[in-house]
Amino acid sequence: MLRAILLRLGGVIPVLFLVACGIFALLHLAPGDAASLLASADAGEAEVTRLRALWGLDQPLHVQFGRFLLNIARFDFGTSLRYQEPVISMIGERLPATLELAAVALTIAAVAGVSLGVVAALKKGKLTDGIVSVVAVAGVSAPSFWVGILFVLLFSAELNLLPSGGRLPFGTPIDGNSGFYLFDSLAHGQFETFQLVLLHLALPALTLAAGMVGIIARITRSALVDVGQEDFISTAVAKGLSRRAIVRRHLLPNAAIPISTIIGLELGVLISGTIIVEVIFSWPGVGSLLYQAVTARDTPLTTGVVVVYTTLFIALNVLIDLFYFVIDPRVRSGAGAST
Amino acid sequence: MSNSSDIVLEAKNLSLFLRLGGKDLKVVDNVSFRVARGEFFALVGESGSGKTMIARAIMRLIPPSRLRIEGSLTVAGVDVAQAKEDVVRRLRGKAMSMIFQEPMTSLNPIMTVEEQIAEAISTHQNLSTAERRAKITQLLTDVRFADPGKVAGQYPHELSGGMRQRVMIAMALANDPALLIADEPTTALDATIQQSILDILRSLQERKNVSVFFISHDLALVNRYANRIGVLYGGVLMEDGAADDVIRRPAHPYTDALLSCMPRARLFGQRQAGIEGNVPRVDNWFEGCRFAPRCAKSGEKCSLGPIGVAPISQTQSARCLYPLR
Amino acid sequence: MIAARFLQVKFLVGALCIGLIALMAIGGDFLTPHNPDDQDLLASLQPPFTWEHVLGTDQLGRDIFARMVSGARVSLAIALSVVLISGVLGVLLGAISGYLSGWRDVVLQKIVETFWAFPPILLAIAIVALFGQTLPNLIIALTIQRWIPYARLARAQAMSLRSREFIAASKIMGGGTVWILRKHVVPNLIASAIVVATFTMATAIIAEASLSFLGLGVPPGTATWGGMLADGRSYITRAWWLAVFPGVGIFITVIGLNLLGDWLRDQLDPKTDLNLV
Repeated sequence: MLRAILLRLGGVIPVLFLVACGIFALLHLAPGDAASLLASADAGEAEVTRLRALWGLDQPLHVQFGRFLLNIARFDFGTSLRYQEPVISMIGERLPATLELAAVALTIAAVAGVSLGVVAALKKGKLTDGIVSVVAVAGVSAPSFWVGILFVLLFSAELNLLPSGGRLPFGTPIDGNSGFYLFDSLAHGQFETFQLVLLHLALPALTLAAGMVGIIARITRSALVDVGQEDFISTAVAKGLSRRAIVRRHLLPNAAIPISTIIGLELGVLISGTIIVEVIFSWPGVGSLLYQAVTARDTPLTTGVVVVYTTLFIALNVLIDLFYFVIDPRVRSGAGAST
Repeated sequence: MSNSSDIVLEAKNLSLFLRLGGKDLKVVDNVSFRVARGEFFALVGESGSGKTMIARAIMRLIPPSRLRIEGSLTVAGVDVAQAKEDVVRRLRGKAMSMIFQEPMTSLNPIMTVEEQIAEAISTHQNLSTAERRAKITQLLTDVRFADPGKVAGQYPHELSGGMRQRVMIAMALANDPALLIADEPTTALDATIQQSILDILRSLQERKNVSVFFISHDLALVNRYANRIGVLYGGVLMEDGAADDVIRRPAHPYTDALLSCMPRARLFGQRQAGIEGNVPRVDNWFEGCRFAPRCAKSGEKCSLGPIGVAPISQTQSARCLYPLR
Repeated sequence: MIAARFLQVKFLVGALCIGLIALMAIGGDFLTPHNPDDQDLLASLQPPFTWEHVLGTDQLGRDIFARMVSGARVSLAIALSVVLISGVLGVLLGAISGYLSGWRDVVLQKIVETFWAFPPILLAIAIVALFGQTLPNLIIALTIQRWIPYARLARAQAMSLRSREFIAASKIMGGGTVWILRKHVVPNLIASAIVVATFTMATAIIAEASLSFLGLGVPPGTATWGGMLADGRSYITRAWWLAVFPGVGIFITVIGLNLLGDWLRDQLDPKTDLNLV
C-alpha cells in the first residue's frame, strides 16, 4: 500500500512540471516584450535592466526556463507591479481567507447534497425525488454571480439579515495570526467575533455551495440506485437485515466511493467559483486578488496566483485519491478501484 | 407421506405474476411441490421456465408491489405469500437462507469475510465476541477452508470465485436454517469447482439436516446429489419425483428429451443435439401443455386446457396426458 | 410512475427554454422597437413591466430587453462556435490517439493531463489577460479545456473498436486508417458526442458570461449578459431589474440545455428500478 501511495504522490511531479512548462509557454507567447511584462509602465532603464538580468531574459530560452522553474519552486514570483510588494507575501496573506471560504462551502455542499441525494434515492419515483431533481438541475444552471447578487438583494438589501461583503465589519477585534478567522476567534474565546465571522461567511459560502449541491445530490442518488442493484444487496436482504441496516452498512459505504469521485470533480468548480464569489462579496482572498491583478495588467501577480491556484487544485486532487485508500480496500491492495 | 412438521417448504397451487404497470404477467403457473426436512430437492428448468422467480419468491426478495403471489408458499409453517414484511424478514437468514448465482458480486467488497458472517450471526443471535469468532471459524472449517483464520480477515476481492461461494454457504448456514435455497450457485464457476461446491452442500445437508432447494438448468449436475428432482417448463412443473426415478425412468416426454441432450453419452447412450423448436416466451404462454408443439407424444387433447397431475408411483408424478410410464 | 412522466417533462421544458431563447435571439428585432445602444438619459433606470420598456431601462436609458436580445446573440454565437471547434478538435484527437495507440496516445494523454490540471476558467482568464481581449482570443480561451471530454469519449470508443473483429476484417479488405476511422469509429460516437455537446454548451455559456462579468469577455461595446450583470451590480438596490433579467436569460438557456442533455442521455442509457425491498 505504501508503494501505491508513494507512486501517486510521485505522479504529481511530472504534472507539475508540465504545468510549469505550459505557464512558461503562455508567458512567452504573450505579446509585448517580456521585460515590459515584468516591469511596471514607469520603471526606469536601470530597473528594466535589473529585471532582465534577474529573469535571464537575454539568455537563451532553456536558461530562462531553468530560472523560471527555480523561481516557481521557491514560490518566488517577483514583485507585484501594482502594489510593489513581493507577490508571494501578498498571496500568503490572502490565502487563508480563500481556503476558509472554500472549506465551509464544500462542507455545506457535501452535507446538503448527500442528504438530498439519500432522500431522493429512498423516495425514488415519487414526488420528492422529482423535486430534488429539479432543484439539482436549477442549482447547476444558475450562474454563481447571479445567485450571489440575488442573495445580496434578498438577504442584505431587502431583509437586512446578512452582510453583503467582507470577512468582518471594519475594526472588529480578532486575535490570533493564522488568518483562519473561524479558528482564531474560537481559539481565543471571542464568541461575538465568531458570530460575526459566521454571518459574513454565510452568503459567500452559500453562493459557492449552491453551484455544487445539485450535482452532488444527483450523483449521490444515482450512486445509491446503482449500488442498490448490486448482488450483495440481495445477499444482505437474504440475511434478514432491516432496511435501515442495509442502507447504513452496505449501501452508503459503497456509494461513498463514487460520491467521493464526484466531490473530487467538483473541486475545480469550487476553486474557480471562489474567483467570482470573492469579487462579488469583496472577500479579501486570492480570487479577488486575481481579478485585481488581471485588471491592472500585473503579470507577476497574475502568474503567481495562477501557479498557486493550480498547485492547490492538484494537491486537493491528490488528497481525494489518497482518500480512496481509506475507504476502498481494493485500492489498498493494489487491485484497483471499482469505479 | 410424512407429517407436516417434517415439511420445510411447501408450494400449493403457486402462481406468480409480475406486476408490469397495468397488466400482470404470469411467470409461474400453478406449481405444487414439497421439500421435507433434510432433503435435497433440485428444481431444474431452462431460462424462462420461472425457476429463479420461485427462488426469489420464497425469500420474498421481490416486493409485493412488483410480484403477486397466488396460492400458498409455506416455509417452516409460515405462508410467505400472505405474511407481512417483518414476519418474513425474521425468517430470512434464520429459518431460511439463500446463496446466489454470481459469487463474484454477491459479497460486500468493502467488508471482510469475518465482518459479513458476523453480521449474519448478530442479526439473529446474541453471542459474545469470542463465541462469535469461534462460530465463524467453525463455519469456515465446515466449508473446507484449510486456514479459516486467514480467510476470515480477507476481503472478497482476495478470494477466488469458488472460495467466495464457500464463504456464502458458510454465511448462509450461520444460524442453522431449516432451508437453504441455492439459486444456480455453480453456473458461474468452473466444472471442477462445481463438483466441490455440490460435495460441500451435500455433506452439510447430511450433517446438519438442512434441506437444500437447489435451482439449476443442468440435470446432469444434480443427478448425483439430489434426493428429489422437479422439472419446470414454461412455468409449469412437468415432473416431480425421486431423483433416481426421474433420471432413469422419466415419465414426462420433456424430461426424456432433456436427458437425451445431455453430454453424458456413456450414461444414456445416443446423444441428441437439442430439442426441436423453441421455449415459448413468457408473454406468449398459450393454454394447454406448453411443451406440446415440440413433443413427439402429443395429441389433440394436449392443447385443450390445463393438464392435470398424473401420479406415476408413490414417489413420482407428471403433468402429462401421455406419460412414458 | 412519476419518473416516466418526468422524463418527458424534461424534454418539453428543455425544448421550451431553448426555443424561447432562440426565438429571442433570432426574432428579437421584431419584438422591440429599441436598439441595444440607444441611450436616453431622461428615461434612465425605468422599472420594467411597462409597454414602453418591457424589462425596464438601465442607467443610460438603454432598453434592457433590446440589450438582452443582443446578449443572447453574442452568447449563443460564441457558445456554438466553441462547442463546434472543441468538439471537432477533441473527437479527432481522441479518435486518432485511441485508435493508433502507441507513443501518439501517450503524448495525448500527457497533454490532456496537463490541461486538465488547471482549474476551470483560470486558464481562460490567464489567456485573455495575457493575450489581449479580442474575440478570437476569447474563443481560444473557452476552447482550451473544453475539447477534453470529447477527446476522452472518442479515445475510449476508438480503443474498444480497435480490438473488434470487423476492424480486422476491414483491414483485410484493404481499408486504410483514415477510412476505418471515418466509417466505423466516428459514427458510433455521434450520439454520445451530442450529449456531451449539450452539456459543454451549457458550461461554455456560463464561462463566457463569467468572463464578461469580470470584464474579460467580448470586447466592450457589445451588450452581453455577463456585462449587463456586472453593470447591474452597482445599482442593485435602486434598480434590481438591471441584474436580475440578464441572469434569468442565462439561467433559462443553461437549464434548457441541461434538461435536454439529461433527456438525451436517458434515451441512450435507461436505468432500471431500485432493488431494495
